[in-house]
Amino acid sequence: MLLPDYRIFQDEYSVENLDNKLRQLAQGKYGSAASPVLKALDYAERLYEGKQREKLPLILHPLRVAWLLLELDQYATSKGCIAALLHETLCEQLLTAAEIEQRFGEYVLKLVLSVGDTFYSQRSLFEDEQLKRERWQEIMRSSHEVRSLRTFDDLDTILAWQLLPATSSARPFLPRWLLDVHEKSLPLAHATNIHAYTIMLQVYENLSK
Amino acid sequence: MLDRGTPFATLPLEIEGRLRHIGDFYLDAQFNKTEERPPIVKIKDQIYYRFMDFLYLPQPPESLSTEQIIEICDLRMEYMDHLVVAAHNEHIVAEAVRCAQAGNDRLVPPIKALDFGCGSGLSSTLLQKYWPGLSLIGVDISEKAVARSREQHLDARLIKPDQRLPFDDATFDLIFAIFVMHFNVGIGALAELRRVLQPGGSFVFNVYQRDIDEVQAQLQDAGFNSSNIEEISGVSKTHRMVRCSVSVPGERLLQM
Repeated sequence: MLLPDYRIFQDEYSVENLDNKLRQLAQGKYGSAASPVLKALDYAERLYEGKQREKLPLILHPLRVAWLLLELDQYATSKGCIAALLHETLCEQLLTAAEIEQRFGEYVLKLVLSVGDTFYSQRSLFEDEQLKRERWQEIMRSSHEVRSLRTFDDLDTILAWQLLPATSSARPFLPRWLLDVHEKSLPLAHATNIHAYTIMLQVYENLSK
Repeated sequence: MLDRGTPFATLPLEIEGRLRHIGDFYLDAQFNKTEERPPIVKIKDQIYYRFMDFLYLPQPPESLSTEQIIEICDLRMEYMDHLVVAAHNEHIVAEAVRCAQAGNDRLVPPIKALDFGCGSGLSSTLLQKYWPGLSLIGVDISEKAVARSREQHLDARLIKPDQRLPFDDATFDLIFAIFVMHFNVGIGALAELRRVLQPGGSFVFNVYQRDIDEVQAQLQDAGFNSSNIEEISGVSKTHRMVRCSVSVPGERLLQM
């Protein structure tokens, strides 16, 4: 099986390029059914406008998760792609669950909720380990699309760690985050998508050196 | 969350000790039906999902690649008597026929049907038993499966994954997929099924251990615009029969 070069996925951080790629990929993959994805893309770009995280546009992460999903998951649906674009809107309080359901339907909301937390924020460092493990087990038992969204969410987060400056105040957390990758993200990727697993393993090994 | 049972229990040592590593999978070739088998286990520090009782897969069936699905199909041919429960298949085919007939009162013989993922030919043989006179063509991605079907004088054809099906548009009145859709056939393959199905015809399949919303999202992306989902009597509640179709243009206008 031909595996992708992971550098392609670690080097792309331009909102404009990602927007263009997503439009092309969605139209190529879904044809006339791509229209809701393109509308969701326009909507997400308006919602995230001007918002930043770590001095980068906040929309970069959802755009990249949607792009990774469309590039690397042959089974991704248009609704899965929409959920990837919206998956930060609940925790950032840009939308409510009711608004997501009303505009994009029950299934998109279900997917957004399924990837609604993250193992790698500073907040999660103090969460109860048992709860985190139960949550991970739940995801391991979930549908392909839930596992896939979570896998690409994790993958993009891990790829972004490579950009952390040596002086970043987040650096000391890296060993703990890498332990979570070993225990949770890598097994999840292995159970879901061989491309994501291969890329994640390379990045994990580089960061662990 | 899907009905995959209690996860992450330990596989009994005596079972792990006799597992055979075949390609990406493990097989317990002793086929002892009385032993307890957890649905998700760790084997050599890697997580595996139980499938067809005696196989352990590195991914759940709906996340397997096409190459892995072909490997599973081949294994199923080799260990048919142990992995396939004929009575269970017969029950599902009878339900599929009932479901297809209920939704197609306008069908006029000769009724042309496609058995998508025909495997060993068991499903085609049973479809003809429960619907005599059905004009049936089988297709499969496994060479071994197609050869086995042909041994039984069935019209079975080898297809390539992600390639156009070798049929004209709107060739079939009905499409069946029996014990296929627990794998993820992908939107491209579903769109091909929609292309070769008559407008107003039905695509009927059984599905289990899949999120039915995910299946419906794929069907919609592939252009199927109506679906009917039923539970099947005598099997687990998560095992469902789906009949979906593409409305004929007149019907679509009426709906609008």
